[in-house]
Amino acid sequence: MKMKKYKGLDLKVYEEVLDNGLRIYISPIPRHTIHARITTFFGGSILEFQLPDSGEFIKVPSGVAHFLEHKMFEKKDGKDPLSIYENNGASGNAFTNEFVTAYHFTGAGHFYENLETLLKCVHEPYFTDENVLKEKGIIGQEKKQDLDNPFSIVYDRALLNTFHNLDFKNTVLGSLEDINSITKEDLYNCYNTFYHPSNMILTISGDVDPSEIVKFVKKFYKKYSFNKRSKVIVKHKDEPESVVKKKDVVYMNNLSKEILISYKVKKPTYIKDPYLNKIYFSFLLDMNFGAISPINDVLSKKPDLISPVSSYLEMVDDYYIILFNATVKENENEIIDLIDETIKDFSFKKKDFDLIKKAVLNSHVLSTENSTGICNMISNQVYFFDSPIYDMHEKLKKLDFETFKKAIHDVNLNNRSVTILDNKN
Amino acid sequence: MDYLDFNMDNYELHVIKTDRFKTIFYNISIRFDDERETERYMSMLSRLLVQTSSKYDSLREINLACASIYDPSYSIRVLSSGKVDILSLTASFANEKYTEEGMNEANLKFLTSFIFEPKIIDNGFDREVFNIQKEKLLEYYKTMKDRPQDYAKARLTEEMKVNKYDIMKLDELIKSIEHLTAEELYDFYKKIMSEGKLDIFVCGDVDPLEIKNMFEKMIKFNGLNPKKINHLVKQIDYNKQEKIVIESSCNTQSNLVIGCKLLDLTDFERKYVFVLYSWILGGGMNSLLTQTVREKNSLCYYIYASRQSLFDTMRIYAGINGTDFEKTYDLVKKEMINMEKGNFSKELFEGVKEIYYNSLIKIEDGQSDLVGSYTSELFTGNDSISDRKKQMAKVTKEDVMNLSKKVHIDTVYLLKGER
Repeated sequence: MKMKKYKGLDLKVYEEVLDNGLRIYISPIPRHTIHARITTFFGGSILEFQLPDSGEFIKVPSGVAHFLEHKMFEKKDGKDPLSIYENNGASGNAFTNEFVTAYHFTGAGHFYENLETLLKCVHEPYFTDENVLKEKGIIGQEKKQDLDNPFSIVYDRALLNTFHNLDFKNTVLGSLEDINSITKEDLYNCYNTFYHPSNMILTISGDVDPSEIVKFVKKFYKKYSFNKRSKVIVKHKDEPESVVKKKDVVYMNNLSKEILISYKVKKPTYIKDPYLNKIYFSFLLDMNFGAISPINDVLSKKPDLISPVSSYLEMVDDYYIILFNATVKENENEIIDLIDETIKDFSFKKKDFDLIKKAVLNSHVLSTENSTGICNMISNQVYFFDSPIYDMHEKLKKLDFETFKKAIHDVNLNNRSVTILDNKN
Repeated sequence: MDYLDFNMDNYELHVIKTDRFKTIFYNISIRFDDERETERYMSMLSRLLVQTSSKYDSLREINLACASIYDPSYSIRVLSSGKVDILSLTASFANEKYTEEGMNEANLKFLTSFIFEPKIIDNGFDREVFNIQKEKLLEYYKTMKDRPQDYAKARLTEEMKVNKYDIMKLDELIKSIEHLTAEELYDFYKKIMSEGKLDIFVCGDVDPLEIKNMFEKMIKFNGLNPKKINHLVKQIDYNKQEKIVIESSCNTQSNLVIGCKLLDLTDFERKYVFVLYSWILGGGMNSLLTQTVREKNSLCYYIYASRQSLFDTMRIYAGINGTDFEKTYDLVKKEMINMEKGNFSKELFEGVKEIYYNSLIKIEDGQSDLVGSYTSELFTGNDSISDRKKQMAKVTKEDVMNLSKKVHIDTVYLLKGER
């Protein structure tokens, strides 16, 4: 077990890699509740991959990763892992996003029983035709919630309008048709490929003893026959820089209008360090749309804007995707044009950069305040950057205005797709 | 961890000193009587206070000042707390140990000014900001049907009489806000400042006396300081034949809300037995409703029960197919009868108690929960954390069964999806 430190943040992390390939990260924070999370690198945007045994490439319906997440809670002995956590006074849950599926619990009591439950949850599948059929009704209702949610409607459509080939364009839940088409065999194929320890990481934080945990986890895996395996091969798809559709209007019986703007930007190459590359790129959003940008005064005075304009940044393959969302009453084009002018305005000021840097530093201190935040940070960094960024705080302190300008000077913001949910009236 | 209470000039300062956190949590609460008319001011007041300040000319200036002190996060809301409403600012900022000296005081000053130093022009709030925010708020209310879960919840609140007065229905509220002026809102603000009761909470690794000195210089409050405010709204009757309201919509999913009233609760039942009742019925994966309606019958993705303990009411929420309404409702009623008969396992009963004990432990993991817990002790007579554990241990299965007989379905609202 190796001990590492997040420098400047009073945070230790103990790392271990098991023979079966499972990577373990444990960050003790005394007197705090425990959060434990096991993450498989299998999310909603993986639909074509090679089966590990036969070597055959297969394609599965979209929504399968999320469906699988639901079914992993079904056990042959009828004991739902969530019920076990609850009976132990802990709370458990799981989530699937485009990239990963993660299972977790929070709670200090009965820790080792809960940890065993967590590990069993992801390694003891029990899928039958009946229980797969039963789940379709439940997930169908989860999907219907999205079909009545204006943001989900434009978000799902915007992905289709942005990506030609990448499976990121498919929604995590899948369509109602996709959900209904998923079979027990699809689930086993995905399970056997992606739920191998070598494709998973375990992160634990709270009032814990790292060496005891590692001992326990090693013992747990003795009863399973997982041999170390090479990386899963996911079908590579080339993605052009252009978007599929520049403008798309969906008509529904809504009273307001929902807009979603998606900018597809090839990652700039000036900064080679992928973590810093993303941080510098995110400053583009912070500088132009963050709290201190002048646009806030302009937007706050637009009576047509019912909600604030929210912005998100996603990292997908070779691209950064910038998304803007707002709910408006009328004059959506005025808002869309204003956002476009603002994102393309590169007249940055050093004093704004320095202020944002302070805020970014503060938000990183806050993200290490509790066990859930720490597991979240480590899991994300391992997924996106292959390892925790232990010198994160130092890197952030050294962020520099001139480098920022160079880092983003040649980004192309002309590949844009606009999706509008308009009312029929 | 130390709890220190200081009697200040017409208000109370509460400091929770703890070295567990890198941040400082700050809360200002001003309590005032809830009246029928209050609703028209509440959302506007929180929107205005957070956007205007006598110290700054624009939102950008506010945000620049905020960034210069390491970007504290803050929000202002007006909360309903039984018979009382609370104008509340909550904020969190990094302790100056992680930023630079002087930042604790700078943050507290900056945040406090939102509540006590709004921008006032000619006896009213800044007209430009007021008019724009009013228009935005009106649009928010007018388009509520685009947010089906919020709409269904609001409609149940309209249909189920819980308070002594009939609450304003959405149309009436919209008309009332349309006529609201910046002067009237400022009058309301002044009323709160003269009739409200102020409590301030600071939680973090701080020197309590230093904090006390800061506030002595910073806040002069002229409100009332009544000894005790009663928050509890008791229910005195219910619809013997439940009122069922079905409204159609263009949605895919139907949103069901079942409103229940609880009569003649003892203090012990309200604080402890009711918690267990709602968790066994509809609290988590093990609960009777989730197991029956979701797991066995595949009728929904979510179904849960939530308590409003300061009103002695409970609501059950579910997202279903419109055609499954009767089947779902029958199953809910069946499970409520099972609660009365004690048809729930010992394992489930003990499990929810464990969840409760664990929730008490978890309070100390978050400053917001710590302050929330202490607030409930001071404001609504909650027991101390250690007493809560002892009291909960006394609750028996028979207590839950007896309480079940006091739970009555009063109003059922279905926003029926037709798509």
